[in-house]
Amino acid sequence: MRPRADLPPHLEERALRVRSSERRLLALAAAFVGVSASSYSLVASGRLTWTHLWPAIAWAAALVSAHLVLDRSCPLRDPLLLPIVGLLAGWGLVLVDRLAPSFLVRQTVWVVMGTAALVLLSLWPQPRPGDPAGLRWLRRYRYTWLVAGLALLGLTLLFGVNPSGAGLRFWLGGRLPLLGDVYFQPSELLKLLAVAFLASYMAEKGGLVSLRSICIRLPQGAQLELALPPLAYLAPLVVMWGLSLLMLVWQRDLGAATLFFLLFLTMLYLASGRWEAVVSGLVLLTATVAAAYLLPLDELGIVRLRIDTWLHPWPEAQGRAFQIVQSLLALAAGGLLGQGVGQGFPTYIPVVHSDFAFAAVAEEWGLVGALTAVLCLTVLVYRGLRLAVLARRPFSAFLAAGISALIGIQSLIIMGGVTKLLPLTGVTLPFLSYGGSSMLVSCMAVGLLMKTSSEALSE
Amino acid sequence: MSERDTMLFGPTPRTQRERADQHSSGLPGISLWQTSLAGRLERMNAAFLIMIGVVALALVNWSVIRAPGLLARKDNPRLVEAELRVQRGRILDRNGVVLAQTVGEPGALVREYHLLTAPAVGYYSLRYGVSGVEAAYDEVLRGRPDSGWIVWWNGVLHRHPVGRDVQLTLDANLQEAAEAALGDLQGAAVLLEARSGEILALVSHPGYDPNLLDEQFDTLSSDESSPLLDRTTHALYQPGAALQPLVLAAALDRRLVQLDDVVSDPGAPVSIDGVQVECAAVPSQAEPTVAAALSHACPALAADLAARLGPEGFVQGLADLGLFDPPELSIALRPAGAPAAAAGQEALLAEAVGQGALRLGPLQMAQAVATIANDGQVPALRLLRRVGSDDDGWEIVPPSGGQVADGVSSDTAAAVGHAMSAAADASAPRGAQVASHVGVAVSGPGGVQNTWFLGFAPAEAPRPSARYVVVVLLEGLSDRDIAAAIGRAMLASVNA
Repeated sequence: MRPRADLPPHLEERALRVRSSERRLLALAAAFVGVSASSYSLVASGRLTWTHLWPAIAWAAALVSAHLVLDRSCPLRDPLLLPIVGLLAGWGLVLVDRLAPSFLVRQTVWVVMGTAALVLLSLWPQPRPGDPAGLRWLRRYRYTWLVAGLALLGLTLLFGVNPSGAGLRFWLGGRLPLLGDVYFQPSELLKLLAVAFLASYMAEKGGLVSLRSICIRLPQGAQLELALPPLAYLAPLVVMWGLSLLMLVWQRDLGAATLFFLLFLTMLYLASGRWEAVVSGLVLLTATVAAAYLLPLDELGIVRLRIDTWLHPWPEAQGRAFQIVQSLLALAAGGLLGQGVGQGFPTYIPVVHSDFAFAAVAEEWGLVGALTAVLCLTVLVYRGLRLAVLARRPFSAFLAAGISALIGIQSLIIMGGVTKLLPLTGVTLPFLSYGGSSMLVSCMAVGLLMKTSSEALSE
Repeated sequence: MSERDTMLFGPTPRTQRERADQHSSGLPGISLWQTSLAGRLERMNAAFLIMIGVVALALVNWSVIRAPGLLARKDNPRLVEAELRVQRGRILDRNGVVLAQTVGEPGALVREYHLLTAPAVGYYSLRYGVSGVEAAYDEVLRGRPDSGWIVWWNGVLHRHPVGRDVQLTLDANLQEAAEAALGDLQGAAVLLEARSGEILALVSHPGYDPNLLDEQFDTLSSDESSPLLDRTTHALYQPGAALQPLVLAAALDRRLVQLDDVVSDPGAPVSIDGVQVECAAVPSQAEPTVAAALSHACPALAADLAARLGPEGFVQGLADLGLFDPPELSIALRPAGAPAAAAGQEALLAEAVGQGALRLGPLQMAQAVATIANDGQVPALRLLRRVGSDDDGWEIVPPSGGQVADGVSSDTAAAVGHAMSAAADASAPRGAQVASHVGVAVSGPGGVQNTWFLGFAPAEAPRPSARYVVVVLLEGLSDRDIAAAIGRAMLASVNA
């Protein structure tokens, strides 16, 4: 079958290569998820049962449809994106079945919806002569999107709930007619909107944001070189820092606050090329965290808790540091090859299905499995950065780089937390952890990457 | 490329590399912003890869390098989970009565004790570990000792270890009878068969219910009467007058004395550290022989014999009976040490009447009595009969042997047995006579008195017919009649 009638001949061969690569990789992902789901079914029920296999079947159906639709309407694309997302999401479904089976239906619905969103964003809107990348809607209305995202966040601050009834209130939603309980975490969407905003801002004003060196002559012929951006363009940095601080203090969402700030620093570096900006930003971040640690405010207790248990987990292994110690024990129990799905004891880690999915992977699939997950995320980030290099337009380049940074930083924060390299913060591991909003938004982000790849490869 | 794009990036290139990037932008189709962004993306990618590499190293650190240490931590819940999946073997008595077994599903296995034989059988607790037979044969009960590869492979397959059964020489009925005989009294009792060395009953009072150990442990461990202490294996007592038959055996074996020798003034008290030690009953003056003095548990006899033996002969004579060799059982034992050859008359006197430094456990006392009952040869005591299971077959465990004590001559043994039976049981019908000796020891600052009963039956038994040995110790009680009644009841229970 010819991919698309209107493709010029020199691109047709490339499209065929994309198709066969993606198919082969999808088959690999399906084999892995199929084997995992089947073996969990055998462990849990002693035979292959519909209860444990239907999510994998729904997942496979969604992926096959996505592949067929993309093949037809978007024949030139990065063939690694869909298989990697598919593998991680399918793996995540097996994990949710194993760790928190009551959320399985919900997570499967989110995966199918996420795949649909991925396809939708990579196809729509089609490139037109006035909008060759098909991303004008995102680029032109950046302030609208950002304000909308912030408004959602504001609503969460005021009316936020927690679906489990207690704990941090990051969610909007409630019991809806026909649909049942639906909850969404606006801070997840805000991440993507912030990336789009920054990409658009940097693409347009990148040169102005960049730092200027000022030489100050000192007595005895010495010189002092100062790098400062023009004051007016310092504003977004301050706003971003303030936003992070707000999230930290008001919502106590340490992970999201750090993620936003690091994302901004990365974008700033890409636009200015000055590592001093990154270093001073990191100093600011460290100082903020240190201040939060030292200030005797009740609202900041969570910061103290996270840092204390990070620095000295062992004396409090049965107390405040229970979670991180159990996580490290899970890593140790996994060893090189793991215990096998359903045969370890990762459920001793509190809330293992969202924040500690990675530890559960390490216990049941072993070091080999954990490194495989790390490798998948690394390849995803690498392909995103590669697309940024290949992109023909600044906005596309910054968007691809920003999305890669979002996925990469988020993965590093949670994997660093689970392995005790960093203090623990509650962010999800993209695609693998349980969490509908995270799944949907991550899929949308990859959808945008897919669109960028289509643009880069088609011209 | 729009005009806006050209002014995007930094004013002047700072490095050679950036200059080179700008030169390369002269290539057709590649924009200036693309080249300078490409360099930054490359550096960002490198930074990301380094950080991912650190995460990977941390993973290797936790899951391989530090894993053994972490997994051995006491707060690792996987240890309990693994333990709850060990199908521990059963503990059976000599007739196949189940003393302990594991029931339930893997992951929720429970150890059940069907007979209150603690502390002989001991306990198995996730919280408090193992004791007694459970500790001694832990490896067998947990499974067949396998090579490293099989252990590894079973771990990969998540096969739950299945232990082997252990059959003891204990007899549940005799154990129960001994428990009943001891009643509420505090002390210990041992019943064994002298020819084979098989231990038939081990009682320590007060005991506890191993089924309820986890719930009651705190109460039990703080109880002043020490119910968790196995008095048969872990408690040592002064022998007092109970040492007399053994001292007599030593002297007879060295031909220093004969049973019908006359003892001058056997009823004279002996003074040890200002405490007067006297005969249990005043001997009749008509016939003050060695045998009669023994039957009245007179300290003067022991003092006289010890003086004839001398310090070294005294210690060696007792050692020949196997008194200082701990029985080769796998259960943990607190062995009595041989007293240093007592220096000086005073010290030897104190040792001879059993009020010196020597302390003995009931099981070791039983071994020495069994030597007399076994025609002078030290029997190898046994508690473990065989291991295996009904499915895989049984493997008889031979006595470990390794006895170093020489024993005494059969004439000596017969003479001591005769003296013990003549004193104890002159009226009983022939064949059912019991040879016994009861002695009281005064120990401790408050003058706490413990009573020993040593005995065997039948008193007249040619090889190879069985001979049963009983040793009873009552704590804090000086009542020879009660001790004798308990010992006789235990000996009688064998034939019941």
